[in-house]
Amino acid sequence: MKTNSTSAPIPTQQVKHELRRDVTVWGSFMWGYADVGADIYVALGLVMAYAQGAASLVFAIAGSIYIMIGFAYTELSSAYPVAGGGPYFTLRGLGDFWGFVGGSALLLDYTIDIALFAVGSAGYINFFMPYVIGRTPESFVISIGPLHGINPIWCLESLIIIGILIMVNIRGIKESSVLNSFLGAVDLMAESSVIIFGFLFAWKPEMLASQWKTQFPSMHNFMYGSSLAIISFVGLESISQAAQETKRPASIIPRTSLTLIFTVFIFAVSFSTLGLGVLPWQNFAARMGDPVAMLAHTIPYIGLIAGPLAAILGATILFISSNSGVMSASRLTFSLSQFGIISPWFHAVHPKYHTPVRTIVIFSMIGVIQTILSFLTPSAMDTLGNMYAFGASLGYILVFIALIKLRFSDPYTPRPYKVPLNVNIKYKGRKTSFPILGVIGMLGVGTILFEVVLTHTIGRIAGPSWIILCFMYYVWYRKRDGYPVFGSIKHDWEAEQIEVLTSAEEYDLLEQYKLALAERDKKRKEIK
Amino acid sequence: MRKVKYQPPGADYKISIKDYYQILSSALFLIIGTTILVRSLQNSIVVMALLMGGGFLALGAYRLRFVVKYFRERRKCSPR
Repeated sequence: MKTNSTSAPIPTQQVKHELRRDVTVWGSFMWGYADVGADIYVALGLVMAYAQGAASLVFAIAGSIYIMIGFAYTELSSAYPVAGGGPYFTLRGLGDFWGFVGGSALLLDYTIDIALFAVGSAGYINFFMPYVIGRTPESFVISIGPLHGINPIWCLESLIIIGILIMVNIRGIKESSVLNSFLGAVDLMAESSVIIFGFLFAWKPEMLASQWKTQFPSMHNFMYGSSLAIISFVGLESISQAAQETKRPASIIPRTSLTLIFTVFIFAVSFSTLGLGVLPWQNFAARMGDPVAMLAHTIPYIGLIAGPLAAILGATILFISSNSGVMSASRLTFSLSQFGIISPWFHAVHPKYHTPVRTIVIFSMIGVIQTILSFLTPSAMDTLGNMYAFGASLGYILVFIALIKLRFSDPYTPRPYKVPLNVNIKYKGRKTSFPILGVIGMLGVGTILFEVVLTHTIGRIAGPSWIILCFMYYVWYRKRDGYPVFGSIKHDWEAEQIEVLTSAEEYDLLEQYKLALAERDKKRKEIK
Repeated sequence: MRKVKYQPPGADYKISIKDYYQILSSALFLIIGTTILVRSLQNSIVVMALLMGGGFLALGAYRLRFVVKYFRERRKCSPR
């Protein structure tokens, strides 16, 4: 596909860079942790249901791929500290069309994010249902004609949560970084306590061994489980969002994101290994709504408190994650509209509250539709996770390709952090480091996407359908405004990069960048 | 190109509550790692259990290395 630039008029809205804050390493870490750390609360039951006795292996495999994705995001976010995240890197590396594809994949994920985490949050609230009304959530399950296993109460709770989020976001209540930090810290300590006490007092290695040997899943279930496991690591966009709003991101972001990546990885693998050594996988499959609370409740000594605490934390942190889906959809549409990928119509603000009301309502309503439809299937969480994996894996593949491409097309931008394992090669007379790990990561995510297409009956239809729907809009919008569909609008990336580094107060990087550009211009003059 | 490299804190650095938490969790990683390894080897050997135990042990040891380094540095600088 050609991505050559044309000289069509640049969209009228110019890129604006907000004021940055002094966010500490800890604050920045907690920002990401509140987002990515929540995923295990949803993924544990879901993955256990399919990966069965091999759940911990599946988490380890998906986690290894996620670590490589994390490396790529760390490099790109510290080099290009803007909130656009994956689609911005793709747009910059591969052009407008692929930026649009990455953007629409991520937008799909944000709408599912709203739905899935709202359903998850309601699931953890339901932990208390037997103690409050004396009935389990499963007792409300009904059948409507050919549709079985419908839980109207759980669905209603999820819709109420989304409704609250819509109202809160339209009124413009800001996500508090203090609240995020507090909740993240409490969650970190609670999860650590469950793991420590669990491994010391409840974990039975013979049970893990027995499940590993006798309950190993079929190939189909293994593939399905490993592609679902990737959802326990989704939310890396928060790294670039943190990078956009942090002063001196080059020194903060690499430390923050590497710590975040490994912490989340350790928790995911530990919880699954602990879970399989404490309870049969069938217990987790039966309690997809609140698996972490159920596990915490069975730990000796602390279980009585840890169970309800994990349920409260799960409900709260998933509520915040669902909210981040609403907020991130607004941020993404704003970023895409700035680069002429979608119309600025989406970003019209509310006359009274000055919030992006159209984006909030449109994408939250898509989340509402997804929630209702998912509850008409045998397992709402499974259906939503099914679609989530498609968007995530497609977006991540494009990020890897952009990472490799940008090493060649933009070698002048200083990279405070580089993905490990590089080989130096000569390209156009200039020494360029080629990221081997980028290729391995791309193949890894490619395998996940292949598994999604092969095993996810809903994801393989709904995912591409969403992209096609967005593409139809993209063609209409680009043709209407006179922009090329497959080509790119001319962007002045160098001026943009100078502005970004200036606003980030990365003056030494700015100097290096200007020096590299000057050297390049000098060489070009000499050749002429 | 500016490299972001970890700089161990100097001897005059004051240990905060967060640092104490990290030291404690690192020590616990060592204990958990050892427990997992020993119990797995005593019972049935599963690859994932060995990886988990080994991982915790290595991570705990790696993190405690910095703590030991810091205390050594502090002892060197402190007046006798």
